[in-house]
Amino acid sequence: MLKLHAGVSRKVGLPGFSSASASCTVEAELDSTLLNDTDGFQIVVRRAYQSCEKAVQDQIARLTSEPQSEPSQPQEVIEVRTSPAISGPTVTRIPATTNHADLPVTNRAAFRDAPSPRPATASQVKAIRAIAARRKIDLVGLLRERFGLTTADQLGIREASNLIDELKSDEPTASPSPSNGNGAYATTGGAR
Amino acid sequence: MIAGVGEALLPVLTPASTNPANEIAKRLTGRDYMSWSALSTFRTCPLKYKFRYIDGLPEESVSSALVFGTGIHTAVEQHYQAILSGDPKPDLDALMFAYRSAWLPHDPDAIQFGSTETRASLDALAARMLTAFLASPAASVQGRVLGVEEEIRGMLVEGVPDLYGRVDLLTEDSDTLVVTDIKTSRGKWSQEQVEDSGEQLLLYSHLASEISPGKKLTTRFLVLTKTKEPQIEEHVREVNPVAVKRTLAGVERVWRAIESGVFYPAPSVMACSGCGYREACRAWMG
Repeated sequence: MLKLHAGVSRKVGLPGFSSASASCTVEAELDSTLLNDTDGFQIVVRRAYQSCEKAVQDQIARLTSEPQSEPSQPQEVIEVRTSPAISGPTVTRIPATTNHADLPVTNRAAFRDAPSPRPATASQVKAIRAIAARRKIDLVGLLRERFGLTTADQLGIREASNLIDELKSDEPTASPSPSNGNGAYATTGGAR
Repeated sequence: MIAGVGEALLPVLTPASTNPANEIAKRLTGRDYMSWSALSTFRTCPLKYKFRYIDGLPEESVSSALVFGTGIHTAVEQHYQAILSGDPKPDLDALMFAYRSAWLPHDPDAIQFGSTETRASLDALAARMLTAFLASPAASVQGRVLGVEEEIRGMLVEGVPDLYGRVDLLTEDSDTLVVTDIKTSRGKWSQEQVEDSGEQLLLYSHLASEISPGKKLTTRFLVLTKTKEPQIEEHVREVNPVAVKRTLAGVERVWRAIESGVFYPAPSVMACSGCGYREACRAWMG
C-alpha cells in the first residue's frame, strides 16, 4: 500500500501580540502503481499540498478578517482523509478550543502554569510529528487534551521539550492514564 | 521533497520585530533583515556585498568549498535531528545521501573546483570526515537538543535591521544553553581563529538568550577538518558581554556604511580567487 501524508501549517502574527493559525493534513492511500509513474506521483503530491495550502490560506484569511473581540484567536485544524484514492475526500473540521474551561482540571492547570514565551522550534515540531507518527499517536487529540491546542507549532519551547522527552521515553506516559478517563488520543490515527 | 515543503511553513523561533530599520533594509536589498553572511560579505569586500545584496547579480560561479561545506552541514544536522526525534542514528550511507543532496541544485559546470580537487575526491573526503564525526564524542549530545538548523531573528541595535540567521545546533543542560556552529576547515583551528570567528555565534547567542533565562550562555564551534585524517574539534567559550558589545558596535558601523552607499572593491589574494563576481568587479568603474 502506498500512503501519502502531507500537511501544511501556518501561523500569522496579529496586532497585540496575538496570532492566528491553521493547519491542514491530508492522509491518503494511493494506487501503488504510482511508484512507477514519477510524474503522476509528483502531480498527486503537489495537488495534496496545493489543496492544503489553499485551505490554510482561506482559513487564515477568515480568522484575520474577523473582528477580534475574543481574548484569544481561534485556531482550527482541517483534517482530510481519503481512501483509497485521493479524489473525493471527506473533510472533518475540528472546532477551535477557545474556552479552556472545557478542559479537565489537570489540563487547565498545565496550560495556565506553563506559558512559554518562546514558541517551539521548527525542529521540535518536526520531532514531535515524527515521534507521534512512529508511535501511531493521535497528535491532535493529545495536544487538545493536554494543552488545549490543536497543532504542535502552538506549543512553547519548554512544553515541546517536555513532550518530546515524554514521547521518547519507554514509559507509557504519553498514553492516556486511566484516571483521566479519556483515551481518545491513543489511537492509530496518524500524526499531524 | 514532501518534508521540505512542510518545513518551509514551520514557525520561526523569533518572529519579525517591528523594527523601523527593517523597512530601510527591504528597500535596499529586498529583505527586511540583515544576515550574518551579508555583514560578513560587506566586511570582506563592500563591492561584493553590493553585487550580491543590492544589485542581486547572480554569481558567475560557486566554489566547491561552499557546496561541500553545505553538504557536510546537511549530513551532520540530519544526525542531530535524528537524536531529537528519537530515531535510530543515521549510518554513513544515510549521511552521505544527505551530503550529496547539497550538490543537486548546482549546475556542475558552474562549480569552481580547486586545482587538485574533483567531485570524486571531495566525496571521498566527505566520507572520511563523516566517519570521523560518527566515531567522535561530538556525535553524542550532552543534555537536550532544542533546535537544529534553527531560524532565529531579532533586533540587536536600535536603528539597525533585525539580524536573521540559522543556528546549526541549540542544546541545553541543567545550567547552560549552548549555541553551536558547525565548520569545515582545511586544518586544525588555532586559538586566534576561534577568537576571530566567534562574532557570529556571540550575536546568535545574544538573540537566543531569552530561550533559557538565567542559564549560562556558551558558544561552541564544532570543526571538522578536511585533512587526510579528519579531526573533529570542539571549541567551547562562555559568552563574554564585553565581546558582545564590541561586536554590536561593529554591526552598527557596517549598517551605517551600507545605508550610506559606501561600496568599494577590497582586493585580496585569498578572497578574490574564489569570488563569483570577478567579471563584474573588473567592469566596475565606480
